[in-house]
Order: sequence, then structure tokens, then C-alpha cells
Amino acid sequence: MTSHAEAPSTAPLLEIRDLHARIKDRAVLKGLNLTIGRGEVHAIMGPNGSGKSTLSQIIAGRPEYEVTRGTVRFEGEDLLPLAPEERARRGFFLGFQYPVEIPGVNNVYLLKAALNAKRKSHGLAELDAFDFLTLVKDKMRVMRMDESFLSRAVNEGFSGGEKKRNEILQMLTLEPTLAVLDETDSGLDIDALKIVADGVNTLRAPDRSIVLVTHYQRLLEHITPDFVHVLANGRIIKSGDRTLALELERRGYDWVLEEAAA
Amino acid sequence: MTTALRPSAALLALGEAPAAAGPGWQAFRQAALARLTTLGLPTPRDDGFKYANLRVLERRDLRPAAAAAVPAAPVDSSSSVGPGAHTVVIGPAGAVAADAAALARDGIELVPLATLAATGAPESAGLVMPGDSPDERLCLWAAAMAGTGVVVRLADGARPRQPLHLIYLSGKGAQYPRLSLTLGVGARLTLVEEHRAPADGKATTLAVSNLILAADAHLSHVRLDDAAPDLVLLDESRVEVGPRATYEQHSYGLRAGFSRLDLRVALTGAGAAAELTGLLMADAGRAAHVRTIVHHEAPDTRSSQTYRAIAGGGARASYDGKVIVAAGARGAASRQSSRNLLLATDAEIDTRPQLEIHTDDVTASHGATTGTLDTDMLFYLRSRGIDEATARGLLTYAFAADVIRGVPLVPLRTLLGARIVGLLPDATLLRDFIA
Repeated sequence: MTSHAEAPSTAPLLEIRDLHARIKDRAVLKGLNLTIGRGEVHAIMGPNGSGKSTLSQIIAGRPEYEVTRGTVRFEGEDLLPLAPEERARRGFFLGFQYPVEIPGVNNVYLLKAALNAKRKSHGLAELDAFDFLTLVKDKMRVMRMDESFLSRAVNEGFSGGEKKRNEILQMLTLEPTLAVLDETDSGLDIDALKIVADGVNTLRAPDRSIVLVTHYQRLLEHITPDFVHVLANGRIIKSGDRTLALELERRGYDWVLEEAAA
Repeated sequence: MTTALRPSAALLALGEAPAAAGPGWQAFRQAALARLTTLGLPTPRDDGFKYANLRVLERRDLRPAAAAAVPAAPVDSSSSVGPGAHTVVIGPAGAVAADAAALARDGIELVPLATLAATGAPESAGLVMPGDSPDERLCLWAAAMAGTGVVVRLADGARPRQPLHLIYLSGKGAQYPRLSLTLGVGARLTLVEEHRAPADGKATTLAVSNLILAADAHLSHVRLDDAAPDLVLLDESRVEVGPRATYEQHSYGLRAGFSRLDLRVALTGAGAAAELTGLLMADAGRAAHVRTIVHHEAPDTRSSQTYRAIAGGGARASYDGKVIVAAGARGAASRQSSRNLLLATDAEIDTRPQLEIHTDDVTASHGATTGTLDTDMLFYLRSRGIDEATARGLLTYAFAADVIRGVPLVPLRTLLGARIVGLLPDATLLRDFIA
């Protein structure tokens, strides 16, 4: 039994139209449009404070943000009325810019519960402890995480790099249809960046889309995007292919902002 | 205006009881009762009773429970403490050791208080007349009722292999159990005190403990209640810690309708240390209160206090903790941490960590926070597919579980974890998650 109807295959995976949102009295998104097709990798770049993280959190369903106008459709279905947990179970994953430490909650129990919540909502049997551990150890090898991670609390005492690898471990285990990785490259040294990028690349598939929210071009050297967008002042102001990222790296953001203002 | 609550006529009628006590005990109890009658019970104006209002005792039967009222339930200690523990059941019928010979073999000398009451002077059981201050009033009350409990002694160097598990059974009416425990030089003991009450009927327990640790002794002490919602549990504990001795208390107030622990620890010897942790969980209009006074009286003494309280709908909890560092206690170190979680808008938690320092040479810190569940953590869990109710329960569990890490016995730690989960909504879901 599935808990929701099959979406028409013609619909894009994610379709955002004229999205306006605010937190308290501050407008953070001001008419954002974005369409993500299946199997595509998109990069969203932009200056600090442009609304990149806000967009990620709103798609994930953070309750503190209020959507005041516009629509977000996921596999053709209105995403906005759904609780964050419901979005996750339908195949959305957010890799946090600042993964939160949760002392007392075991990292792997969380992962097991997360996976089983998703499986259950798709009418699949829950994985038992043995099968789950086999699966997660396999993914941990990809992320080069040692087994001590199994017994630790969620992100507690993890270094910045370990937290980001843990996010990708979760993503690999949950196998989302759409993953938004919010500044996953920030705070990573070059080796960790490579591990994270390799992890992401193992997940690239025709039916899975990935959105990389990033400030810098360097992650895109390891994960090649199909599309690059510039987000500024709550809107996507320019889109292009991967050469746009290179151009931004070379010229900065000012010229795009000026172009958009013209 | 608040007036002092007078012990009820029913309580006063007690002047004659209990039958088995010798003349010295009877005189001691009569004297205590006469003073209690004059002074009355403390009111919220009295220091130490601001949060824990003893009005809860009104309309309760405070007469010592009759032996006949004790349910003949089988007592099994293995479930909570693990196999092999020395179990002693203390109820209205007296104190009964499951295996007295095993106790003696393991170096624990244990005498029921009733035995001493029949033959000896009150001093033989460590009983002294409490002072007149409101602070000592519950001890005065307990002195007036003294007659059940145990006197435990460990000789110098005694190190029983198994923990001592004292189970206090409540019947209908009131219990006034006493524990007098002395650890000789270098002795070590793990002590578990557990209060059990029947699910029906209003029971009241006023327990008094006097614990004395000689030099280099170590006592690991766990207190917990597995009590009914109608239990009122008042606990007066006095601890004296000698040179280099260490006292550890883990206290769990999880189920009583109303509980108040008043714990005074005197670090009397150089290098003495006390580590106090506690968890209070109250919901559905229940109340759980802790009051501590830790007195650093000697140089290089250390104390730490870690208390966590969780209050749900209509519940109240409080931590009222004071550390006093005397002029002679150079090099003393103390730490107080009180973190509190409010789960409902009509819940109330009061926290008051206090420091009174009479020397410059001291390291002291204290912190107190009271708040609701962290929204970042909540969102993180939900973004992983965990529904909101489970996420809330899980974070509440995590908050509480933080203090059970130090519990000395693994079976007890497991039991406490399960009990905490059992108190949360969606317990079944959480069990899957945590186990």
C-alpha cells in the first residue's frame, strides 16, 4: 500500500513558481522560480544572505518560515501543506549547512528510524537490525567513517568535516529522490571534500536529482552540475550551464547583480 | 496569611505507639511529638519549603500503617538491581533481610531498628533530637514516629561484593522508615534505596537517612521511586563525608504524586568529595522537589551537582540547591548545574542554585536553564522522517537520559532508561527507537 497517488511521469521532479516567503516580518524569498527535472544536478550559487539557505529550509518544511505566495510542487504534488517528516518520507532530503548535535540520541538509531519511517510509508517492510547494519556499514565504507560512529550520539563532538560526512551517509542510506545539499562543502579540507563529492557522485542516477547550494565553485570541480543558478535578493536572477560557475569564480557576483538590475 | 499546618488529631493520638519500644524510646518519641505539636509543620514561608508546599499532607492519614495492611506481594530485587544483590524489605511489619547470613558473610552488619527500639537507648540507633528550626521539622516529626528501619555498619576496609538493596514498601497510612549507615575507614558500598507503593490508596512516606562515611570510604547511592500517583514521599537525608571519602548519589523522582528530597551533605574531612545527580519527572499535576545543601567544611573538598527536571501538564518541579564554603575550606571546588525542560504551558519549574563562600581560595560555578525543546533539534529529526510526536519524545528522553549515564549498576541503568521511556507519550515508538 502506498500512502500517496503516483505522480504523472510528465511532471518535473520539483517545480517552484513565484515563491514568496518571510520569517517574522522579514521577506526572504521574493518571487523565486526554479524547475528541477529528474536525474539533473543543479547548483545554486549566490552571495551571502541571498536566501540560499532559506530556500533549502523552506523546501524541507521548516515551520518558522511562512510562505506568503507561490507554489512548490514535488512530483506534481503540492509540497507546502506537508509536514517536514512527510516530505522526507516522500523522498526529499536536506543536507544541513550546520548539522545539529543531539546528545543522547544515537546516530545510528536515528538513521534506522529514518530509513524505516520512509520504508513504511512506501509500504515496504522495516529492515531488521542485522540487515540495517549491513547496509549502513557498507555506506560508511564509502564515506570512510570508522565504526565508532555507530555508537556515537547524533553529531555530538563531531568535527565539521565529520558532520558533513555524516549528512552524506544519511543521504546514501535514505536514497532520496531529491537531495538539497546546503553548503555541504563549507568547512571541508580538500580530502574531506573529495570524500563527500565521491559519496554524492555514487548517488547520481537517472531518477534522482541533486541540488548543490554553494558559495564556491570548488565543489563543482568534483560534482559536475547540469545547471547553475544565481540566487540574489530572494530570486533566481540568472541561470546557465556549468560555465556560469566558472565565470562567477573569475568575475564575482557583481556583474550578475548589475545585469539583473539593468 | 499562611498558618502552620498542625499535625492532625489522628497523628497526635499516636503518642502511645508503638508497643514494642522500650521506655527510653517512648520518652524520646513523646518529647519529639510534644515539640512537633507546639511548632507545627513548616509553611511556604520557611526556608526550604517555598516550592514544596506541605499542604499536600492535609486530609491524609498520617498514622503509621498497620502491619496487617501490608500487601503480601512477592518482592523481587533482581529485576532492578541485578542478581545477587542483598535485599532488605522495610515495611510497616518491620525490616526483613532476604538472606541475613549472606549479608554477614559479605561484611554488612545490619540490625532492624525495631530490635534496638525494644532493648536499647535511641542513641544506639544514631537518633538525636532535631533542633527547633523549620528546616529540621520533618526530622522532628520522624523522630516522634521512629521505630522502623535499619541500622547498617560496614567495618573498616569492608567491601561487599554485592550491592545492598533496600526496598521500602508502603501500605495504607504512613511509613516512617529510618536508615542509619556507617562506613568504616576505606569501606565501599553500593546502596540502592527503592520506594514502592500500591497503585491504590493514599500512602505517605517520611524517610530519614543518616549516612556517615569515614576516611577513604566510598558510597555509591541510588534512590528511586516506583510509586503510585497518590504517594507523598518526603525524604530527609544527612550525609557526613570524611577525609578523602567520596559520596555519590543518583536520585530519581519519577512516579510519586508528590516528592521532596532534602539532602544535606557535609564534607567534613580534607579531600572529601560528593557527586550528586538527580532526575525529576513530573506530569499530570504531580510535583517533584529537590533541595540540597552541600557544606564544604574542610580544605580541598569537591562537590558537583547535576539536576534535571522535566515537567508536563499542571506539574511542578524545583531545584533549590545551596553550596556553602566555610572559611577553612581552602582549595574547595564546587559545580552546580540545573537544567529544566517544560513540556506544557501550565507546567512550572523553579530553580535556585546558590553559593555562599567564606574563603577566597575556591573554584565555584553554577548554571541554570529552563526552556522548551530545542527547535533546531526538533526540525533536524523531522527532516529525517521522524514524526513530530516521536521527535519530541525522543528529545525529552535524551534530556533525561543524560543523567542516567553515571548510574553504577548496568541493570539499574537499563531499568531507569525503560522507566523514563514508559513515562513519555508514544512509549512504544520510542522503545523501538532506543532499544
